[in-house]
Amino acid sequence: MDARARNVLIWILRLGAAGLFLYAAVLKVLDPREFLTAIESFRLFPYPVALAGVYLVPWLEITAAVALLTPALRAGGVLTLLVLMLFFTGIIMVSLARGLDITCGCFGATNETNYPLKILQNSGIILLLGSIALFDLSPKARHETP
Amino acid sequence: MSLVRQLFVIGFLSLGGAFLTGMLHPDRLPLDESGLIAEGEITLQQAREIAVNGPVLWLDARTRDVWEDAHIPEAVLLNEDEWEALLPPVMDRLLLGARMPTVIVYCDSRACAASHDVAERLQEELPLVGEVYVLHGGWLAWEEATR
Repeated sequence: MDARARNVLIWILRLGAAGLFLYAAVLKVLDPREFLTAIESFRLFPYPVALAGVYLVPWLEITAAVALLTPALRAGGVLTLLVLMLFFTGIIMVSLARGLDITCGCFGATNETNYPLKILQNSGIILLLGSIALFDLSPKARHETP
Repeated sequence: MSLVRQLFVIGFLSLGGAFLTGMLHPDRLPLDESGLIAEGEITLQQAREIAVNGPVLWLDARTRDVWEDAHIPEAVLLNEDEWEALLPPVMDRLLLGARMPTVIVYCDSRACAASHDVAERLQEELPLVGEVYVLHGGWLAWEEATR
Protein backbone atom coordinates (compact mmCIF):
# COMPACT_ATOMS: atom_id res chain seq x y z
CA MET A 1 0.00 0.00 0.00
CA ASP A 2 1.47 3.37 -0.96
CA ALA A 3 1.76 6.25 1.52
CA ARG A 4 -1.21 8.17 0.11
CA ALA A 5 -3.60 5.18 0.31
CA ARG A 6 -2.35 4.44 3.82
CA ASN A 7 -3.04 8.03 4.91
CA VAL A 8 -6.56 7.93 3.48
CA LEU A 9 -7.22 4.64 5.28
CA ILE A 10 -5.93 5.90 8.62
CA TRP A 11 -8.06 9.03 8.33
CA ILE A 12 -11.16 6.91 7.65
CA LEU A 13 -10.37 4.83 10.74
CA ARG A 14 -9.81 7.95 12.87
CA LEU A 15 -13.06 9.55 11.68
CA GLY A 16 -14.96 6.32 12.31
CA ALA A 17 -13.60 5.95 15.84
CA ALA A 18 -14.09 9.64 16.68
CA GLY A 19 -17.70 9.56 15.39
CA LEU A 20 -18.46 6.42 17.38
CA PHE A 21 -17.15 7.83 20.66
CA LEU A 22 -18.72 11.26 20.13
CA TYR A 23 -22.10 9.60 19.53
CA ALA A 24 -21.77 7.41 22.64
CA ALA A 25 -20.63 10.38 24.74
CA VAL A 26 -23.43 12.72 23.66
CA LEU A 27 -26.04 10.11 24.65
CA LYS A 28 -24.43 9.86 28.10
CA VAL A 29 -24.23 13.64 28.55
CA LEU A 30 -27.88 14.07 27.54
CA ASP A 31 -29.18 11.48 30.02
CA PRO A 32 -26.95 11.32 33.12
CA ARG A 33 -29.58 9.41 35.13
CA GLU A 34 -29.65 6.56 32.68
CA PHE A 35 -25.85 6.41 32.60
CA LEU A 36 -25.77 6.40 36.42
CA THR A 37 -28.17 3.44 36.40
CA ALA A 38 -25.87 1.67 33.96
CA ILE A 39 -22.77 2.33 36.10
CA GLU A 40 -24.54 1.22 39.28
CA SER A 41 -25.68 -2.03 37.68
CA PHE A 42 -22.02 -3.15 37.71
CA ARG A 43 -22.12 -3.00 41.54
CA LEU A 44 -18.47 -2.04 41.67
CA PHE A 45 -18.53 1.62 42.58
CA PRO A 46 -19.93 3.59 45.53
CA TYR A 47 -22.25 6.48 44.66
CA PRO A 48 -19.63 9.28 44.74
CA VAL A 49 -17.38 7.35 42.32
CA ALA A 50 -20.34 6.51 40.05
CA LEU A 51 -21.38 10.17 40.08
CA ALA A 52 -17.88 11.29 39.08
CA GLY A 53 -17.89 8.66 36.32
CA VAL A 54 -21.26 9.87 35.01
CA TYR A 55 -19.74 13.25 34.19
CA LEU A 56 -16.10 12.41 33.54
CA VAL A 57 -16.36 9.36 31.25
CA PRO A 58 -18.37 11.06 28.47
CA TRP A 59 -16.07 14.08 28.55
CA LEU A 60 -13.00 11.85 28.32
CA GLU A 61 -14.64 10.28 25.26
CA ILE A 62 -15.47 13.66 23.71
CA THR A 63 -12.05 15.18 24.36
CA ALA A 64 -10.18 12.09 23.22
CA ALA A 65 -12.34 11.78 20.10
CA VAL A 66 -11.61 15.40 19.16
CA ALA A 67 -7.93 14.85 20.03
CA LEU A 68 -7.89 11.91 17.62
CA LEU A 69 -8.60 14.37 14.81
CA THR A 70 -6.11 16.98 16.07
CA PRO A 71 -2.55 16.31 14.84
CA ALA A 72 -0.85 17.63 18.00
CA LEU A 73 -3.00 15.47 20.34
CA ARG A 74 -3.59 12.38 18.20
CA ALA A 75 -1.42 9.93 20.14
CA GLY A 76 -2.92 11.01 23.48
CA GLY A 77 -6.42 10.67 22.03
CA VAL A 78 -6.01 7.15 20.77
CA LEU A 79 -4.26 6.04 23.97
CA THR A 80 -7.06 7.50 26.14
CA LEU A 81 -9.76 5.77 24.08
CA LEU A 82 -7.87 2.49 24.12
CA VAL A 83 -7.47 2.60 27.92
CA LEU A 84 -11.17 3.49 28.31
CA MET A 85 -12.25 0.57 26.10
CA LEU A 86 -9.99 -1.88 27.94
CA PHE A 87 -11.45 -0.62 31.23
CA PHE A 88 -15.07 -0.95 30.01
CA THR A 89 -14.42 -4.43 28.65
CA GLY A 90 -12.70 -5.43 31.88
CA ILE A 91 -15.67 -4.46 34.05
CA ILE A 92 -18.10 -6.15 31.64
CA MET A 93 -16.07 -9.36 31.96
CA VAL A 94 -16.03 -9.03 35.76
CA SER A 95 -19.83 -8.66 35.67
CA LEU A 96 -20.13 -11.72 33.44
CA ALA A 97 -18.04 -13.70 35.94
CA ARG A 98 -20.28 -12.46 38.78
CA GLY A 99 -23.45 -13.36 36.86
CA LEU A 100 -24.83 -9.82 37.00
CA ASP A 101 -27.54 -8.47 34.72
CA ILE A 102 -25.95 -5.22 33.64
CA THR A 103 -27.52 -2.51 31.53
CA CYS A 104 -24.23 -1.32 30.00
CA GLY A 105 -25.50 2.07 28.81
CA CYS A 106 -22.75 2.17 26.21
CA PHE A 107 -24.84 3.66 23.44
CA GLY A 108 -27.76 4.87 25.50
CA ALA A 109 -29.33 1.39 25.54
CA THR A 110 -30.37 -0.10 28.85
CA ASN A 111 -31.79 -3.35 27.57
CA GLU A 112 -31.03 -6.85 28.78
CA THR A 113 -27.39 -7.84 28.67
CA ASN A 114 -26.12 -9.83 25.74
CA TYR A 115 -22.61 -10.51 27.03
CA PRO A 116 -21.17 -12.30 23.98
CA LEU A 117 -22.41 -9.53 21.67
CA LYS A 118 -21.15 -6.80 24.01
CA ILE A 119 -17.68 -8.38 24.31
CA LEU A 120 -17.55 -8.94 20.54
CA GLN A 121 -18.55 -5.31 19.93
CA ASN A 122 -15.90 -4.03 22.35
CA SER A 123 -13.26 -6.31 20.82
CA GLY A 124 -14.03 -4.81 17.42
CA ILE A 125 -13.63 -1.27 18.78
CA ILE A 126 -10.37 -2.23 20.54
CA LEU A 127 -9.12 -3.69 17.25
CA LEU A 128 -10.05 -0.46 15.46
CA LEU A 129 -8.28 1.67 18.07
CA GLY A 130 -5.33 -0.72 18.09
CA SER A 131 -4.91 -0.24 14.33
CA ILE A 132 -4.95 3.53 14.74
CA ALA A 133 -2.57 3.30 17.73
CA LEU A 134 -0.09 1.23 15.73
CA PHE A 135 0.12 4.11 13.32
CA ASP A 136 -0.27 7.14 15.63
CA LEU A 137 1.88 5.87 18.49
CA SER A 138 4.82 4.80 16.33
CA PRO A 139 7.79 7.17 16.73
CA LYS A 140 7.89 7.71 12.96
CA ALA A 141 4.21 8.66 12.74
CA ARG A 142 4.50 11.07 15.63
CA HIS A 143 6.93 13.12 13.61
CA GLU A 144 4.89 12.93 10.39
CA THR A 145 1.37 14.30 10.57
CA PRO A 146 -0.77 13.14 7.62
CA MET B 1 3.95 17.70 22.10
CA SER B 2 5.04 14.77 24.29
CA LEU B 3 2.56 11.97 24.97
CA VAL B 4 2.42 12.83 28.69
CA ARG B 5 1.62 16.46 27.88
CA GLN B 6 -1.10 15.34 25.44
CA LEU B 7 -2.69 13.14 28.11
CA PHE B 8 -2.53 16.01 30.57
CA VAL B 9 -4.33 18.33 28.12
CA ILE B 10 -7.02 15.70 27.44
CA GLY B 11 -7.47 15.08 31.18
CA PHE B 12 -7.64 18.77 31.99
CA LEU B 13 -10.21 19.54 29.28
CA SER B 14 -12.29 16.51 30.30
CA LEU B 15 -12.31 17.60 33.94
CA GLY B 16 -13.46 21.07 32.83
CA GLY B 17 -16.27 19.63 30.71
CA ALA B 18 -17.32 17.24 33.47
CA PHE B 19 -17.37 20.03 36.04
CA LEU B 20 -19.45 22.34 33.83
CA THR B 21 -21.91 19.55 32.99
CA GLY B 22 -22.23 18.68 36.66
CA MET B 23 -22.98 22.32 37.50
CA LEU B 24 -25.15 23.33 34.55
CA HIS B 25 -27.00 20.21 33.31
CA PRO B 26 -30.79 20.69 33.60
CA ASP B 27 -31.12 17.14 34.96
CA ARG B 28 -28.01 17.23 37.16
CA LEU B 29 -27.63 14.51 39.76
CA PRO B 30 -27.52 15.24 43.50
CA LEU B 31 -24.22 15.03 45.35
CA ASP B 32 -25.89 12.96 48.06
CA GLU B 33 -27.48 9.65 47.06
CA SER B 34 -30.54 10.32 49.24
CA GLY B 35 -31.49 13.09 46.80
CA LEU B 36 -32.32 10.38 44.25
CA ILE B 37 -35.25 8.95 46.21
CA ALA B 38 -38.25 8.92 43.86
CA GLU B 39 -41.91 9.41 44.72
CA GLY B 40 -43.33 6.37 46.48
CA GLU B 41 -39.91 5.16 47.62
CA ILE B 42 -38.67 4.87 51.19
CA THR B 43 -35.22 4.24 52.59
CA LEU B 44 -34.35 1.11 54.52
CA GLN B 45 -34.25 3.18 57.69
CA GLN B 46 -37.80 4.42 57.09
CA ALA B 47 -38.93 0.87 56.30
CA ARG B 48 -37.52 -0.33 59.61
CA GLU B 49 -39.33 2.46 61.46
CA ILE B 50 -42.61 1.44 59.81
CA ALA B 51 -41.97 -2.18 60.80
CA VAL B 52 -41.47 -1.15 64.44
CA ASN B 53 -44.85 0.61 64.51
CA GLY B 54 -47.01 -1.95 62.71
CA PRO B 55 -47.21 -4.99 60.46
CA VAL B 56 -45.21 -4.97 57.24
CA LEU B 57 -45.45 -7.28 54.26
CA TRP B 58 -42.25 -7.41 52.24
CA LEU B 59 -42.78 -8.27 48.59
CA ASP B 60 -39.86 -9.46 46.49
CA ALA B 61 -40.37 -8.43 42.86
CA ARG B 62 -37.28 -10.22 41.56
CA THR B 63 -37.25 -13.56 39.75
CA ARG B 64 -37.90 -16.85 41.55
CA ASP B 65 -34.26 -17.97 41.12
CA VAL B 66 -32.78 -15.05 43.02
CA TRP B 67 -35.59 -15.07 45.60
CA GLU B 68 -34.85 -18.73 46.35
CA ASP B 69 -31.18 -17.88 46.60
CA ALA B 70 -31.68 -15.16 49.24
CA HIS B 71 -34.33 -12.63 50.26
CA ILE B 72 -35.39 -10.33 53.10
CA PRO B 73 -36.68 -12.50 55.96
CA GLU B 74 -40.37 -13.36 55.49
CA ALA B 75 -40.50 -11.58 52.11
CA VAL B 76 -43.09 -13.06 49.77
CA LEU B 77 -42.34 -13.50 46.09
CA LEU B 78 -44.50 -11.44 43.72
CA ASN B 79 -43.20 -10.77 40.24
CA GLU B 80 -44.96 -10.01 36.99
CA ASP B 81 -43.78 -13.24 35.32
CA GLU B 82 -45.82 -15.38 37.74
CA TRP B 83 -48.37 -12.77 38.77
CA GLU B 84 -51.52 -14.91 38.54
CA ALA B 85 -50.04 -17.76 40.56
CA LEU B 86 -48.32 -15.60 43.17
CA LEU B 87 -51.06 -13.09 43.89
CA PRO B 88 -53.42 -15.38 45.92
CA PRO B 89 -50.84 -16.13 48.65
CA VAL B 90 -50.05 -12.42 48.83
CA MET B 91 -53.77 -11.67 49.30
CA ASP B 92 -53.90 -14.30 52.06
CA ARG B 93 -51.00 -12.61 53.82
CA LEU B 94 -52.61 -9.19 53.46
CA LEU B 95 -55.84 -10.37 55.06
CA LEU B 96 -54.18 -12.56 57.70
CA GLY B 97 -53.91 -10.12 60.60
CA ALA B 98 -56.32 -7.76 62.28
CA ARG B 99 -54.59 -4.83 60.66
CA MET B 100 -53.74 -4.39 56.98
CA PRO B 101 -49.94 -4.47 56.72
CA THR B 102 -47.91 -1.79 55.02
CA VAL B 103 -46.55 -3.27 51.81
CA ILE B 104 -42.91 -2.66 50.92
CA VAL B 105 -41.82 -3.90 47.50
CA TYR B 106 -38.22 -4.32 46.47
CA CYS B 107 -36.25 -5.57 43.50
CA ASP B 108 -32.55 -5.90 42.88
CA SER B 109 -31.23 -2.35 43.13
CA ARG B 110 -32.03 1.21 42.13
CA ALA B 111 -31.29 0.17 38.55
CA CYS B 112 -34.33 -2.12 38.30
CA ALA B 113 -37.92 -1.03 37.73
CA ALA B 114 -39.67 -4.27 38.75
CA SER B 115 -40.53 -3.04 42.26
CA HIS B 116 -42.27 0.07 40.91
CA ASP B 117 -44.15 -2.01 38.34
CA VAL B 118 -45.31 -4.52 40.97
CA ALA B 119 -46.31 -1.76 43.43
CA GLU B 120 -48.32 -0.01 40.74
CA ARG B 121 -50.04 -3.17 39.54
CA LEU B 122 -50.82 -4.25 43.09
CA GLN B 123 -52.55 -0.94 43.80
CA GLU B 124 -54.48 -1.19 40.53
CA GLU B 125 -55.68 -4.75 41.11
CA LEU B 126 -56.20 -4.54 44.87
CA PRO B 127 -57.56 -1.07 45.54
CA LEU B 128 -58.20 -1.98 49.17
CA VAL B 129 -54.54 -2.60 49.87
CA GLY B 130 -53.15 -0.10 52.37
CA GLU B 131 -49.95 1.83 51.98
CA VAL B 132 -47.55 0.51 49.35
CA TYR B 133 -43.94 1.68 49.17
CA VAL B 134 -40.89 0.77 47.14
CA LEU B 135 -37.61 0.16 48.97
CA HIS B 136 -35.02 2.61 47.64
CA GLY B 137 -31.93 0.66 46.59
CA GLY B 138 -33.76 -2.67 46.83
CA TRP B 139 -32.09 -5.92 47.80
CA LEU B 140 -28.66 -4.36 47.30
CA ALA B 141 -29.40 -1.74 49.99
CA TRP B 142 -30.61 -4.47 52.37
CA GLU B 143 -27.58 -6.65 51.65
CA GLU B 144 -25.19 -3.75 52.26
CA ALA B 145 -26.93 -2.75 55.50
CA THR B 146 -26.91 -6.26 56.91
CA ARG B 147 -23.41 -7.25 55.76
